[in-house]
Amino acid sequence: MTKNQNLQLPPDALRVPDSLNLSGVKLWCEYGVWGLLFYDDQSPWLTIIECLHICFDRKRRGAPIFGPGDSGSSEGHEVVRYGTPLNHPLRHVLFRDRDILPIADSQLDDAGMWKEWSDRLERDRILLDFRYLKSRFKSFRDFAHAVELLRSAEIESHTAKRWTSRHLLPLGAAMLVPDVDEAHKLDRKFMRRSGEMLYLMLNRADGRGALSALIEERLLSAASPWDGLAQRLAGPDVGPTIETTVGYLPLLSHQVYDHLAEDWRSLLGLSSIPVENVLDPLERVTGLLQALYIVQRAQETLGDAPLPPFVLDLVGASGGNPVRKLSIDQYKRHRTMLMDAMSAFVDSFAETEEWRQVLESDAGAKEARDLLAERFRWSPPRPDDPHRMPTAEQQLAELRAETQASRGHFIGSTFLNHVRQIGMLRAHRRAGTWYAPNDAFLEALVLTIVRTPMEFGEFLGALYTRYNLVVGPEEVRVAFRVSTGSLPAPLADLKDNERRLEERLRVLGFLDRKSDDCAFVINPFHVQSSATIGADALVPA
Amino acid sequence: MPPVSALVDFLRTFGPVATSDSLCDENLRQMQATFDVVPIDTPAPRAADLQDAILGAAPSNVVLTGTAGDGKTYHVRKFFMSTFPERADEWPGEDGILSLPLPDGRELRVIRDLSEISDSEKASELAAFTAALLGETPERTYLVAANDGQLLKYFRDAATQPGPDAARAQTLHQRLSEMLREEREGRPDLDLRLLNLSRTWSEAVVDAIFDAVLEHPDWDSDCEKCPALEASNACPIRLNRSLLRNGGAEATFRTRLKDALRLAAANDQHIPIRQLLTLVVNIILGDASRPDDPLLDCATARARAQARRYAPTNPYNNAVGLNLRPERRRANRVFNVFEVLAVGFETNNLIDSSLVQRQPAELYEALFSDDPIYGRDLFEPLRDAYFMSGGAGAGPAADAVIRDFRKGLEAQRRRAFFRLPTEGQREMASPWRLSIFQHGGEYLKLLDALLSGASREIVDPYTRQLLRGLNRAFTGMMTIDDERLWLAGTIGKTDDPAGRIATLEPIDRTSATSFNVRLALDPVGKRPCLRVMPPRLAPQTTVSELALRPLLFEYLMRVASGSLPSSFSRQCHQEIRHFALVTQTAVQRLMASDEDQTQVVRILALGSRGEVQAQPLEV
Repeated sequence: MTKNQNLQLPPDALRVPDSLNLSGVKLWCEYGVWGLLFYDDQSPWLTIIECLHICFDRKRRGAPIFGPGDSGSSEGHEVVRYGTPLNHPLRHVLFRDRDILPIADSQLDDAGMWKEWSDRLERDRILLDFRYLKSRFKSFRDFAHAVELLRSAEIESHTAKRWTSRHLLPLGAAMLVPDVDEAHKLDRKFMRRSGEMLYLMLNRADGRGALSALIEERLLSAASPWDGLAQRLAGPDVGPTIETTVGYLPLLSHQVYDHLAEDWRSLLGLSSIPVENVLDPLERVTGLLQALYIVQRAQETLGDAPLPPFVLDLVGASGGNPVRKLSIDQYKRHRTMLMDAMSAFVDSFAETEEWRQVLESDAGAKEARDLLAERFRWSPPRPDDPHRMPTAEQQLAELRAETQASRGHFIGSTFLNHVRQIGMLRAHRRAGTWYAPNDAFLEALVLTIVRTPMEFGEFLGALYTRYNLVVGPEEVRVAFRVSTGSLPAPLADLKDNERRLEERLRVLGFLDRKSDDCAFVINPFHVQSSATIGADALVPA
Repeated sequence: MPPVSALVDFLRTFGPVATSDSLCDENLRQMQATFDVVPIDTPAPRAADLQDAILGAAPSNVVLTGTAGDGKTYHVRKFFMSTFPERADEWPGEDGILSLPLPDGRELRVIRDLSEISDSEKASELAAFTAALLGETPERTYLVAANDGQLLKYFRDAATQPGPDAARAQTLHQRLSEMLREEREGRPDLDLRLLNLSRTWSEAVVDAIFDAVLEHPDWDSDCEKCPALEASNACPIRLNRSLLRNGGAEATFRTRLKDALRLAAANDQHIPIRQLLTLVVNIILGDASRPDDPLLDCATARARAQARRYAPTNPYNNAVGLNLRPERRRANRVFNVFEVLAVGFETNNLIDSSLVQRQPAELYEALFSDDPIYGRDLFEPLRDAYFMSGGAGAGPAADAVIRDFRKGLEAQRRRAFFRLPTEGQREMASPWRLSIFQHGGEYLKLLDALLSGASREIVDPYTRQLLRGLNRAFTGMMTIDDERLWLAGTIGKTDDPAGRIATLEPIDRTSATSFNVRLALDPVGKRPCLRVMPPRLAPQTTVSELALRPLLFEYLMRVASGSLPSSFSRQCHQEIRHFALVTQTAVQRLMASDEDQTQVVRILALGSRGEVQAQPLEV
């Protein structure tokens, strides 16, 4: 048995593959419950990009997008190795350069512009060979236009990340680059396995076959014009491929995996609009489902109480708004659940036979130390006096305390960052933190859930059953198990909350009210198969 | 004791007062008996369609839907009375569901109101109703009245019940949802005629209701012996009635009301028949001095006339419900039509100057030469007091002068909106300039042109304006391009509303050899729509379509003329963005088959003459 096989795991979890290098892991608890790893500094955007790195790599190697994984993963957990070319010239031009646009605006003639640029490259000691560009563009200005255009396809351009951590919309292989440091090392500063978790989730989902066909059609071989432009700028040499392997995801199957695949199919299936326009909703819904996975896993670890719903505040009024108060409470419950789940994970270990034996043993302190190192990769801090080793119980208490200590990067801050970044949460220094959707998030929900016109009430029901989101009184009643007693917020306020959601959807162009009694939520991009505008419509008469 | 008109007392029951909320078909018939007046003959606009659908050559089931007050029960009763005259005394009867034999041997099952039958009746009827709608039981025909929400709820609830019917109910729910959403009356996979009384706009219906009240035979006999008839001060009820009656110069008031209602209908703001009755009654009987009793009766009317107190009975204020408390006004959706238009609050310098400064004189004359009671007599004293006070001053008295003047001014703007001719001398004196829908008149003109199949010369100027508005909204540049449509955007979804990138060639308005753009009438929504069409030689299947509601039309027309209406631009921008994305993909798909050339994207900039310039870039 190797070390990875001895780690503490929840029931039904897959064994951790031996190939996974855990040398950096100092405490195995969070990863056992949720997976290795959901990272707070990796935004939902970078999560889907990392996932697509894997998909594009498999396409490049001629492997099926989804499947049992590479050799060595025949049993249990997939082992998937993947890599992405460095593509240094392209990222220099797009993300580091500050000269191209000013030169294109100058009075120099074309030859002068090219020369000026190469002089500046030399001055800055940038030793990249850009001679191929001159033959690929009619003029320097043309080249500058292409650069300007492609820069507008950057994701999260408002963030001030290092230039090697800036990324384009994933519209083709040439638009993907690994997230590295200045020395081209994969330091996993912003891409740290959350996308690998996503890949594994999709890979284990029902309906992954149909999904892989759609990913193939709409992304991998879509021949986007923007990808073509990136290829022209990138040049012939895309440099070395930066390789790595995927992390660990405990459960072989989970309801969220299936939902993820379903929602990906739903969004990528919106063929009436360019695929680049479904990526923003895709990123948000993916983030939402991963957040849902995080609280659901906590719930499962804790036992079978009902999952506290996400109460969305749409009233927006501060000062004693009862819906917001309820939402603030719910957020606190979710955060507490995550800590409690880690505690429960330790509890379940404490109840095992082998730990009981340790407690009963005369050499308990030493055995405990070994067992905790084996199960949790954890060692107690060295005592000052090597002869006064803490008892087994003290060691476990210390371990438990450490799971509860607030750290920089941990599942709680991942949860917070992700729900905020997808536009579902607002935090205010004085007022607190609560769930409130922004317009882009609402758009993502409509485009994912709605196909043919859906009654508003049905839409509210779907938000609850699919995402645990509640807005109006009816879903609050169900989610809070209210049968006869009073609702957790006044009925009038919940009704107002619901009415405001309707108003928001109307302004976004997603709602059609037919009468006092009947309103439809509409997805303007859904085309019914019978009404599909086929290519055969253009047969010359 | 001077005589009192029974008709006036009867009409008061139709007003926007609490009791009228419960005025349904049954109560109405009782009322008429109580007051001993000739019944008000309201139209049943779909009666013939109903008759034909059930008894015609190709019979089908009928579901009558519509909002409360649309006359669903009234339609069913009319059908019952005319088809089974010998059983007239059985109506309405105790049973929620009637079973009647049709002449050709079919069984007709009538559900007068789906919401009024019990849950067990609903459940037991489900299988047979479902089978009938799916066309499996031609020997049985259903006539059901239900409002849209209830109808869908019926099948939605059934779909969640265990049993063999759940899947069928689910199918019906989805098909009915689509029909309601797309406003279709039938579809091939259902044996159903869905008559939606809320989607029936007809000028004839509105006129019929106005006439039923204004030309009621009892007016002459009731007023005959009234001393006010001969008095020098006019009875406000008769005065208001005369201002609304058809014929002569006064007809503008009525025309403008109908225009506003029609515009509201195009904005999906439907006004049920009962609310139309409320409107006309409120205009002639409204009185703003007693919020608890906002309608005149004969005694109050005489008192107003004797005191020459006409300010509270102003019919132009009554038309927008100003005689009512705000909550009562909101409870009557007809007044929302005018609230949306903001009549009285929207204005421009030309009209305000002719009201306040009497300049220009010809416009002043047009406004004040007739209708002196609600015009000159009401407004001049307020204006004089305002000028006397110098328009300023301190203290409650001065504040009151300013407030009264402002209210008087608003009332005159309302009066101007209802009385100015549609085709004025100056554009700024168009009545629609006194509303949010400054292009409301043009919208209706375009709608009429499309309905009557007018020639392109009439429609084309609108197409060009709309294209310019779209180009400006898409590119964020003040371009003057109006002969081609630039589907400009960004790469993917960004927060930047201005798109400087076009992956497609612009679509020429009139191109014969490639895609082109034209205005057409959406036969379902009965609204203008902008259509992108394939080249002339290809089958003419619409590529994409932008439905032009008055709000979107207004937005595009204003953007085309250089202003940005911030209050509703967000919603409209979303709608056109959706249109652009769908059009772009559809055109690309159609072109993909017949060309294999290098792909080109275009970076857009504004040329010196205001035209869009495209810098092509091969990709």
